[in-house]
Amino acid sequence: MTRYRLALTAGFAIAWIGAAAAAPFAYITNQASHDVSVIDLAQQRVVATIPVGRSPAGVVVSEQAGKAFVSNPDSKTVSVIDLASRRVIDTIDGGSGPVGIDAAPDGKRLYVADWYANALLVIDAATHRRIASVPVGIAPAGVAVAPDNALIYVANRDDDAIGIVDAGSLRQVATVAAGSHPFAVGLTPDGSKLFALNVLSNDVSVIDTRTRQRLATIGVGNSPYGVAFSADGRRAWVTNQHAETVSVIDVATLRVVHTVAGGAYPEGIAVAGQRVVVVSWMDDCVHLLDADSGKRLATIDTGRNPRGFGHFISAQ
Amino acid sequence: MRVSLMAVLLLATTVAWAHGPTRQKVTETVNIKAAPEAVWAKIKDYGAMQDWHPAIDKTVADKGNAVGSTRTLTLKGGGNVVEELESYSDAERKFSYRMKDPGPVPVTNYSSTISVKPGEGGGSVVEWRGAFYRKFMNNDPPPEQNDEAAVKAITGIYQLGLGNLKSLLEKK
Repeated sequence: MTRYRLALTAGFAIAWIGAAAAAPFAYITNQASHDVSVIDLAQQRVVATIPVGRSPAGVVVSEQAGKAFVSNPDSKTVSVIDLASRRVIDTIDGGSGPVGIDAAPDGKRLYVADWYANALLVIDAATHRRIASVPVGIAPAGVAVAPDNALIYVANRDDDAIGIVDAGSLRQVATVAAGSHPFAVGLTPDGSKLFALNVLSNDVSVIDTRTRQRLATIGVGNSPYGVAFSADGRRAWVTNQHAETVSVIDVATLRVVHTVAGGAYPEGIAVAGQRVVVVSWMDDCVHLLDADSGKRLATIDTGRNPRGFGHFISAQ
Repeated sequence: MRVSLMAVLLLATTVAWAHGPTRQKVTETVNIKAAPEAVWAKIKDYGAMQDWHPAIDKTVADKGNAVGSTRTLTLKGGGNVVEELESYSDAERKFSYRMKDPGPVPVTNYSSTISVKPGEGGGSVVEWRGAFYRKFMNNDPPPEQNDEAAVKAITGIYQLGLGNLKSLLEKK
């Protein structure tokens, strides 16, 4: 009887969540089909496919701005998607080769790594006008904006260093040494630590953002490519592209506590509550993992060659 | 002449590990009427690719099937390709490797996995997949070094090898 009532209650709860336009959603860039798959993570299915520019790679959802921004390296543009209508509402000049992309948490600015120009593009997220092109290091890839909007971290991959750009002066004001070929970067939710993923040295450089010193170097699997943090900042997940695993890192001790299966060529990664979303580039899908056990709960097909390089989760 | 010199200079300034262009992938599979053990036996020696791939003249591997083993493939058409073994599993019948020097193959940062799985009726399915970038790592590549040229070359290598592997194993 009790079990029946429980099941009934659970059934109602699921139906209610479904009716209330279940959240959250994942906006996954598909580099070979030149579109974005919008995945309803509660219903575990693609609810929209949005054509964008050529070979979309980077993505950031800014709920403050009500938009998602997608970098298209092969058309050298940035597509602007309206989250409410799920349509492209504008296309912005992306310099010579836009890759990594992040938005300021206040939703006012967009920052784009311009790979071939060795620059960080600063774009007004409301008007879509370029404010500046800030010279940084060689082959800038991943970008992360501090929670207070004041600083931007960029992986200057071919310098083996992280550049720190001041949002006020629009200049690179410091660099911090990383490992070999840092590509993706991620900040803990409180902004106190930066994780730089070194693709060639197979490790993560952890940088104290206050002292700008390296706190630790954490060995992970072959070719680390994507990083995400739990909302409470206690755990980090790192995709290892060639090892086809995900390293689970305890942020307090800066140690790998688990290594779980990541699918074929895992790339972008994000945390949505109890689920971890891992993009599988080789198999054209995303895997949903349980945030506690790392167990695979579901697999959802995407477009071709999905990357999801950036903060791709949206509550709406 | 000036153009080709410029191309060489541009290539020289970019290391063989770039992500500006778009990564490509190719997956080819073949069904073979032979047991997985028999098919695996034919391809499992990382240092003997000439045993099954008709484009290879000679293979020299410095550490056999141990991870980190570097092999040099001498191509029948001329040129050498150098690869390093990244993972190897007899139990799963698969191994992965990455190219250190692509030689005449128009790719950059190539990595690959070949595996044998049980197929229908006691047969096998061989899957060969690769991930790579085109040879030209800057914007606006010449046609012989663009994405299409890279995909075409790798597809050709896979189809030739898998086709020959099938005929070798199905031959009575």
